[in-house]
Amino acid sequence: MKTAKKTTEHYLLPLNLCFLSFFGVFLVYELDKGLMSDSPISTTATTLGVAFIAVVFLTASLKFRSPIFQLFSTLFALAALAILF
Amino acid sequence: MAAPKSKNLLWKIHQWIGLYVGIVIAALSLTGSVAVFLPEIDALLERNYQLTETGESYVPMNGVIAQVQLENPGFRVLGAIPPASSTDPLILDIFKGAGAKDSERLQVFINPYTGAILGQKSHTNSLSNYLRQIHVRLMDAWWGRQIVGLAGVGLFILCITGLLIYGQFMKNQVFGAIRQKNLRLLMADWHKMVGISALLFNLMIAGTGAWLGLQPVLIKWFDIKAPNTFLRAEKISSEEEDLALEYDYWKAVEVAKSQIEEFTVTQVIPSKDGTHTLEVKGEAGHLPFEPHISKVVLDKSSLEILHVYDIRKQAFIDKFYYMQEGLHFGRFGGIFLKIAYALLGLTTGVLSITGFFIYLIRQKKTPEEKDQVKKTIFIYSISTVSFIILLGLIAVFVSYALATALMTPAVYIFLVGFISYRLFRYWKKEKIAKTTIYENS
Repeated sequence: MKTAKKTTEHYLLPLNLCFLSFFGVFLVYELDKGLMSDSPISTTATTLGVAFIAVVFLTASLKFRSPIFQLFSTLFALAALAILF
Repeated sequence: MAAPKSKNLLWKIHQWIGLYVGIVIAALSLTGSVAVFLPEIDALLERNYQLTETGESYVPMNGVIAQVQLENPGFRVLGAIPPASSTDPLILDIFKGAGAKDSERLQVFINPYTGAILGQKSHTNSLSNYLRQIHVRLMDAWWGRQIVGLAGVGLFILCITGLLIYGQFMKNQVFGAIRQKNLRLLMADWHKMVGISALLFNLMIAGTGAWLGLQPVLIKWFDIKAPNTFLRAEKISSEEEDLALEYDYWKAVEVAKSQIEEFTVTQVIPSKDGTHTLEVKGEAGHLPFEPHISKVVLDKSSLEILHVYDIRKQAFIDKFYYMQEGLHFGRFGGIFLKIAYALLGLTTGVLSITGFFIYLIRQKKTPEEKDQVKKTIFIYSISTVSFIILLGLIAVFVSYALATALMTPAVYIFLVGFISYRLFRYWKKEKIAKTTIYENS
């Protein structure tokens, strides 16, 4: 396996999976909050939108294993984290 | 090419910790995934106390609380849970401390519109208490909580070592490829895929679980002061007078609600030590903090505000302290978050089983022996689940005290027996290895 591919498979992919589980759980939590009648709307639409796009990219990165796309997904997830916090 | 020594060491740490902690992690995974739904389980079991008719206004609680205390001599009021919806009853939490064996906690269900006592149930012998206690301390009254904390530390190390050796074990294989060549490879591939997919969640569960389990010991050792421990400095009266002092329950709830934005009151706790206070606890904003953590402390008679603690307005360190339980149990969202938590929580059980499978099959030489592994794993899994169910039946239908009395020594007998057995096996293996080297030289 080429070094770039190895780096992607052994390091970037696990990192992307961590981001995916985080944003996945976060969106489920936001969905729950949205369904509650007494819940305040505290997360902005921009944050939710970015988190959703991050989930889409991270999920796609499981299928498309190009190192560039993996890296792009990681960077996008990092940006989404920065927006969230 | 041989693997580097550091990788071998990591693999050995992963294997041995997994072997020793795996069974506890599997049990905690199963019980934790069910324990996420404790409020739903309680609501299902308490559905008979739901009100069919509602009234215009709530009746004063003083007379009702006095009536409950009269009917249950020796019990003191721990707290009163206000109705969450118009058809919910008010739940009075009462407790009688009489040693480990005879102590009892009851929940009395009251119609808040009429003051009628609808019924009562034992909290001590309830399914929710059993699930919580087996998950938090394995029903072991001595060092159970600390053992669970150590299992959390073990899981944390397993996650880190697992990540570090992941690349070495994947080699040229791509993530998600499951090899069907033989059962060991199949299990190994599932182990790697599930482990890496749920890595972050398991790290969080391990870290928060380790803290929650070892909290009493760590607080003592490092003299950690818990935040949010307001206590009125002066004592106004004797304990007896304080217990008998009447207060306006519903007004106290309203006053507290006016102090914290989006405050949902979940408990009202009257003082019993002569300080004449009412602690109105609750949650604000569905955030991942432990339950009942925001609070308003009032004077019992005048309802004057003595202290307000809104977790959202506290320093980061306070938030971090109270985030551990909230994040660990995942009850800060709704049903979908709980389902997600339960499914992710089950991954540690899957990892324990697949990890044990890989370990056992590596030890076996012949195909017959390897075939036997499936049976062994099946028997272990079924026995563990049956044991947890049996213990639950004893706790609910006989008594929690009996279940814990059986479980406490059982935990230590198992630990001593298991560790002794493993050490004996290790000693025997070493002895055989030395004899072989001696004979060959």
